[in-house]
Parts: sequence; structure tokens; C-alpha cells
Amino acid sequence: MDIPDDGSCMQAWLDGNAAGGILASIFLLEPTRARIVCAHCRHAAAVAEQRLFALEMGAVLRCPACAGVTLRVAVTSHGRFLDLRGAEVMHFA
Amino acid sequence: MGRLRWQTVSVESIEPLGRRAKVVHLRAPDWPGHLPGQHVDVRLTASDGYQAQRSYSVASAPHELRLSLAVECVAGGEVSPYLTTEVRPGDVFELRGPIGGYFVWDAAPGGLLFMCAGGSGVAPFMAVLEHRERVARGLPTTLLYSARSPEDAMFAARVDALARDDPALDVVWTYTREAPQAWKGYARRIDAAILRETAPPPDDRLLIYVCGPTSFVEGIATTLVELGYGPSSIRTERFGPSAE
Repeated sequence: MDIPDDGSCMQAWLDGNAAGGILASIFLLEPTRARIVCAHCRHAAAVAEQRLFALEMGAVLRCPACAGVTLRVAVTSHGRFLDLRGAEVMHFA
Repeated sequence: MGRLRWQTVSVESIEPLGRRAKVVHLRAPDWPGHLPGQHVDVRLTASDGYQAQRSYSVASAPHELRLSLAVECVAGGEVSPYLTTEVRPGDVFELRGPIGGYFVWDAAPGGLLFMCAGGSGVAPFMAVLEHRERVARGLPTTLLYSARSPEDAMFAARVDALARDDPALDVVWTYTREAPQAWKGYARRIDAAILRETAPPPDDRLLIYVCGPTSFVEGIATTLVELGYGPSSIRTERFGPSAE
């Protein structure tokens, strides 16, 4: 998904805070304070500071610096999916 | 903490909150307790199995027996119209929480507190103010609250009562659409001049919280950094497009 230049979908994003529920249904440690190092640009930011694009069955987090996808999560009737290819490191303090 | 699970809660009562919002008081027997600033996810399931889910800040303080959510009705929404117009005492739905460890306030370190609320973004700050009243009265605190009009302001009477009783708590209102008659305060969106006049000067002990619609939070956080406040002292919670 590319962000349109006109910013038409930019209003839709939330803070990663709002992904705290779905992530806490998978991670045992509090996830929103965990820091992600973006695999695209190496910017480090808390999960709460990532930009959240909420989807119907999950969430996509994007780096606040470069907008690259850092984390994708989905909860479906077939199980839970977590894609961390865009996160070089996820650090739980 | 264990992995977060859904729990069933029941509605104890509903109160109007300004012109288009309600506060929904819940009985949550399995509630483990929360910190001011945390939120919950609410999940509604239709008879055909369709589910809709939204996040709401907890407006009640940790010591209060019931869990309270402030819900602004968003036209065409899937969850807020139910919670603001249809729900009745005794109704049950699913909820999970408490959620979040970033946009939370801990009274222990003390310092100075500056909170900026846009519309229903005041909800988590009610939990902060009620908790502060109990455990940190006298802590220098400012709430800058932007509402469309006095009729749209949520928790106005309670906020003013808390401020009247505690000289260390300063509440500053700004009305963006319609101000009261003979109003001498701010009557515009929060800008650099308002922030300069209301926020304490940059200080290592100052903690700043900003909660509101995405564009509101974006504008204020950027302006605060331009005014010299350290990005690490600013915690934000954006809840999406404005309901306007």
C-alpha cells in the first residue's frame, strides 16, 4: 500500500497505541513501549509512536520517519499472523 | 502480565456528556485494574456473527469501582452509535484491557504536568485528574482543553470543580466554534501563541500529554517541538479523524 501524495488516506492513521490490544493478545510483555528499529531506515521508535493503519482483521504499523512498513499483525479464524520483516529489532525494555 | 483476553462486561448506567457524547459506566468483574491513560478495545458482535471493534480511553480513575468510558457519537460509525444511543443498563458486550504502557501517567516521579485535550481526547485526562486528586494533589498541573462549544465540552463541571479546590491545578479552555457570551478567554484552535501562554516553560521535570483527533495532535506536537520542548517529553494519543 502506498500513501497517496495528496494525503487522502493520511487522516486515517492512528498511533501505535491503538494496536496495543491486538499485540497484547500475542505478546506476553507490554508491547506499546517496545521499541522497533525500522529495517528500512534504522529509525528507532516505540510501537506507540509508529503510525497505525488499522485494517479489518489486523493492523499495519509504519515507521514515523520513513513510512516503511515495520510490523503487520492479523488475527483470523485460521490463527494469528505476525510479520516482522520491516522491524530489524524489537526491543522490550 | 498474561496475554490479553476478551472479557464480558455489563452496562451499569449511562450519562449524557455534552451534546453528542455519553459516559458509559460498566461492571467488569474480571477487571485487573488500570493506570490513568490506558484504553480498552470494545468488540460488538451482531446476530449474524459480524464483529466491529473500537478503542476507548478509560475515563475513570484506578480507585473507582466501576469502569467508565467516554464515547462520542460518530455519525455512520459501527460502535459509537450503539454505545451512545442504543445501549441500556444490563446490556453486555465484550471488552479487553487495560491496554498500553506508553500513554500512561505515573504519579510517583512528581514534576510538572501539562495536558492538552481536543474534544473527547479529554477522557484519559479525567482518569489522570481524578487519580492526581487522590494521590498527588498540589502537583503543578495545567489542562488546556479545546472544545467546539460549552455544550460540547465533556466533564466541564467536574473539571472546574477540581480546579476550584486545588490552586495547583490550572484549567484553560478554548472554544473553536462558539464561545459563551461575554467570554474573555481563548476562542480559536490551539496555536503557538496559546501554547506559549499556557504551557510551563521547558523543564526536565515537565511531562506533556496530548490527546485528540489526529490533525489536532499532529499540529500541537509539532508546535511544541518548535517552541523548544523535547520530543521525548511529549506523549501523544491520536484517535483518528475528527468527528466534525
